[in-house]
Amino acid sequence: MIIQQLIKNVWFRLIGLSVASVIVLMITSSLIQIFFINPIQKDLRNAKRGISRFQSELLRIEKEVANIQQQIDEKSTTNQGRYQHYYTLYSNPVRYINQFVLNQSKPQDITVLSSSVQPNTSLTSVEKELLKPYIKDFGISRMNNITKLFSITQLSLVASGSFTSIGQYLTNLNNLPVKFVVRNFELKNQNNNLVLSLNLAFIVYRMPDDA
Amino acid sequence: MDQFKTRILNTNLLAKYSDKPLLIFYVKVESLVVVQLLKTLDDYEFHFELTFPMGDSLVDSLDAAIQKVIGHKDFNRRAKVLMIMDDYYLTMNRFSIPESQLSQIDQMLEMEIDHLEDYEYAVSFAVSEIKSNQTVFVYMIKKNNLMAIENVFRKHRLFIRQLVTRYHSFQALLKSGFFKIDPARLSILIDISSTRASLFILFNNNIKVYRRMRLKLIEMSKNPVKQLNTILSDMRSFIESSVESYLMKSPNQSFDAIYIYSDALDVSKAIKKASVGKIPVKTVPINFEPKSNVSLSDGLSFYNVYGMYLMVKNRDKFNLIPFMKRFEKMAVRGILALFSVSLIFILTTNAYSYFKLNKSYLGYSANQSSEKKEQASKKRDMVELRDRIKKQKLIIDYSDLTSESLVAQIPLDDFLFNITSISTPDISFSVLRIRRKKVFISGTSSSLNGNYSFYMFLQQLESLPYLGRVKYNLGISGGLDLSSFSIDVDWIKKK
Repeated sequence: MIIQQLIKNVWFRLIGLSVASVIVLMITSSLIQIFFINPIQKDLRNAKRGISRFQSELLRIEKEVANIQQQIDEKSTTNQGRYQHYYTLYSNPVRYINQFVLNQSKPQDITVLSSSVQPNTSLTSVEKELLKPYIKDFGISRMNNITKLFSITQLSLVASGSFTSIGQYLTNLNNLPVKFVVRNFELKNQNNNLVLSLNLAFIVYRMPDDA
Repeated sequence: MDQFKTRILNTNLLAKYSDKPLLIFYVKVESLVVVQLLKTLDDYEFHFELTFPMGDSLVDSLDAAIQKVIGHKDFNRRAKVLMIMDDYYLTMNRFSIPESQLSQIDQMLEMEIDHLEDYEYAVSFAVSEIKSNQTVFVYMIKKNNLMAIENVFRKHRLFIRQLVTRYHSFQALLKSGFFKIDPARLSILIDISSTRASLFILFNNNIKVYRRMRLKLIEMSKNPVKQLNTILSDMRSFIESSVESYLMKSPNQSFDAIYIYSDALDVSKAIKKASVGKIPVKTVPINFEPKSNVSLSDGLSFYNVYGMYLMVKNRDKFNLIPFMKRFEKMAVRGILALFSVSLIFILTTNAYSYFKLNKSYLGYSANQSSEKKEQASKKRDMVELRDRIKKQKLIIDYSDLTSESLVAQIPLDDFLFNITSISTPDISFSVLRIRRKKVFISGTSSSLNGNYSFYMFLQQLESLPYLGRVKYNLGISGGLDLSSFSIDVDWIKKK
């Protein structure tokens, strides 16, 4: 009844129409905002954010690379040439042993009677035992992973020579930057001739092909 | 008189506090009366009164009258123009509708009255003779006629504010106590216009009955006595039926008199001695004192003009000119125009924003795709570099692992140097073997001095830090003064 009375009033009708117009305008504006402007603003914001996210990711990788590079540089400086030897060993153990163990380290007067190099052999318990205390410091969680990561390149050598030469040879081998396990060492005096039998195990990291 | 009014009158500020003058046009059947007066604080101030004959065309007569009014020396252009129209020019409908339908009166009228859209109309409520019903008078004027009347005024740069009927001006007189009728007595008041006679039964200042009857005064004799006699004889049965009708509802009452009022007929001259039944017919006494300095050409019509003045004074809103409807129509148009403009503005600004953002977005997208490609290739390179470096680092780490774990390995050269340095010349070695941390040494030594040199060698061998407890065999050898020996010793971890 009151509403009917109000509707009969001209001013009420005009105010009602004005208010309704304003509301319709507000709703129209809001709908346009919701369905057209906001989505495009969001897309634009995401587009801007996408590029910056990409850039920040790249920056993070660059920092990571720089950090690793710095660590490598520091280690390389303090251990001059060592890593090159290891790299050569890991990339081609047979060639390394031939080059450095059987040729460069060997004095001239030692005669190699026989030698054999066997790459990709398994680690024995001796090697595993030697590595075990240190593996966790280098990010290897379990001993089982050792065989996946490392292999043994075995060198068997029989040579003859003077005691001094043999001693020199052993010194040279010890002075190599690459460390190895002496599985068997035998020095025999045969008819006033010293015969050296060596069985060395080189621990070789199974380097990925693209390294 | 209150203090405010006294102060205004004493300080000659009356004009300042007075309203605009009223210019009232009273359109009758045969004449047009124009009066200008000023509503003052308590009374009115008379300016002028002019009477014009009505020609064949109302519009032309109005036009001619306005021209003359404008030329009058006392004419005030600021005056509010008002108009009273005789019933002759208007159409009137009477309805008795239930009170519950009053709220939808416009819809009801649209249904009841044919071609209502051709008319401007206004509604008045009259005395109801049936309970819970309301008597409604609908006064109508053709839109074309109203527009023509308004245009005449507009032509002379005048603006007509209010258009009322003769009935309304008469009602204003009746309500204001203009007629000196004893309210305690039951009376009949008959108002005679050119075309209608209206009958009011009055009691206690209330209208008890209202009836009306069509007359043809124009066609009657010009003699007022004859005219009145004709009217009374025509109205006799009408009056009697009205009286009976009233007495049926309110019996045991007697009528004091029948009072006649007319602005179309000079009743005072016509009435000698008349009665309807036993009720005497009299001229209605008037409670009005004309201004002493005013001479009126049409004194009878002035009363209705005075009624219009009373309507203005009492702020009676009845108006056949639908100002509010027009205002509403204009306002609605204005609001819709504003709405349209605002809507267009909103759509335009939003469209502009949208296309601007879209352009920006497309720009970003284009940049993004090229930048993405560039960044992706850069990232791919960086990832490759990182992986390669990580692998390099792994090589370094694992070489460190090998170095650290094998650092405690047997220093063969050092061991050979030590055993040669601690052995005496009489000791000769045949076999030196190291396998799985077991060191085996065999050879011969001098058996002289109780194998002194062998034991010395043994003692010094034991002192080597990386060797454990020594086990040996010593026996006679094949040679002279020679003993053969074999030594087993464990290699212990270097400290």
